[in-house]
Amino acid sequence: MAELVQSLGRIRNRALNVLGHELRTPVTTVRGLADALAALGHDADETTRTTLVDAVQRNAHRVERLLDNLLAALEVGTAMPVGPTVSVLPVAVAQAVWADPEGPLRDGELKVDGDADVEVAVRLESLKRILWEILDNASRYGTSPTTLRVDTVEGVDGALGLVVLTIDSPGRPLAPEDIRYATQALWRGESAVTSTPGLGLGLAVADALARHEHGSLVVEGLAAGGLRTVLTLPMGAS
Amino acid sequence: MTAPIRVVVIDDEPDIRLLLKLQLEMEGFVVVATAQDGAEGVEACLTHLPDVAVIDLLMPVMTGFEAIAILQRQAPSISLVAYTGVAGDFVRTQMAEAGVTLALKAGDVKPLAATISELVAVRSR
Repeated sequence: MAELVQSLGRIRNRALNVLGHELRTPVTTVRGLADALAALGHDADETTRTTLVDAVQRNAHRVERLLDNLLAALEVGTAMPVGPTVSVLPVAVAQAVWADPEGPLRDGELKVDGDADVEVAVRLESLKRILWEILDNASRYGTSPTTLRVDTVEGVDGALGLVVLTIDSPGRPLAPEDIRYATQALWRGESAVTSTPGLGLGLAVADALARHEHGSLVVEGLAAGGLRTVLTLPMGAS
Repeated sequence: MTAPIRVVVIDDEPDIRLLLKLQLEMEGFVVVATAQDGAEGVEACLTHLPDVAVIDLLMPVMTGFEAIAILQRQAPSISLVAYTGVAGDFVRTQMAEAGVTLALKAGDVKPLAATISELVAVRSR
């Protein structure tokens, strides 16, 4: 029992450390730049002022997103997307997310394989966030190209079918526990801890939102190294 | 007149680099270079030989832990400050063993500025 308590204490401390680290950077920046803007006053030229205001806004947005993701990953109901379920093209949404200037695209390529005209029935905000998190994870830790394959499973007895989106991001072989806990909030693979900023929420958010949309998310290792993420969602009505 | 203290800032977060450059220069320091990872930081330090390097610990390509070890061997005249968002037992122990001063990231730059000034004052005694 004492060992279990000690173990839970270590997990709690690790989680709080990671959270503190990720909050510290944007909070430090917002506070510091706001103070600097106040101190510079009218001495700041327009370029400097714009640069600093942009940075303050960017970091305030980062805190907001971090809070949204933390609540969603922990499946706090009030943080889950609301609104109507609609039929949308997941491939088009994935490509838009990939190309978003604030999105996951860095230098890599997103290749699509399969029927790009298949629709899924989801809340649009959920789908955007799920794909954002999966593709962000893929581009952070994988090598180009990331591939998105679309498959369908027909429904039986009049039920709507399923759309299976398989996202492969080749990369280094992953430790079994990194795959097993990949969708656990605040879990970060050992290689990610020292090399890439992050809170370990991305796939946990995607997993929670997939279930919120009556779908599922499965994470597995690729034989040659890297990560495969399989997102299954209800098929759209079209 | 005393020459201003020359600083290299090493942090993978561009907004932290922007902030530190601005804040440290408002405090009267000269930021001679900024770098986005440990490898760039080591190169910048060896090129500019600053009085002080402010080094984030968790960075891609080369971590701050690795950069600190290299700089202590190759440029021992540079005073080092480990600048970090959190300082758990592991970080505290590692930095104590390396003899490197720790500073926590904070919006208020005064504690970091005081640490830098103190390190340079101690070094010049």
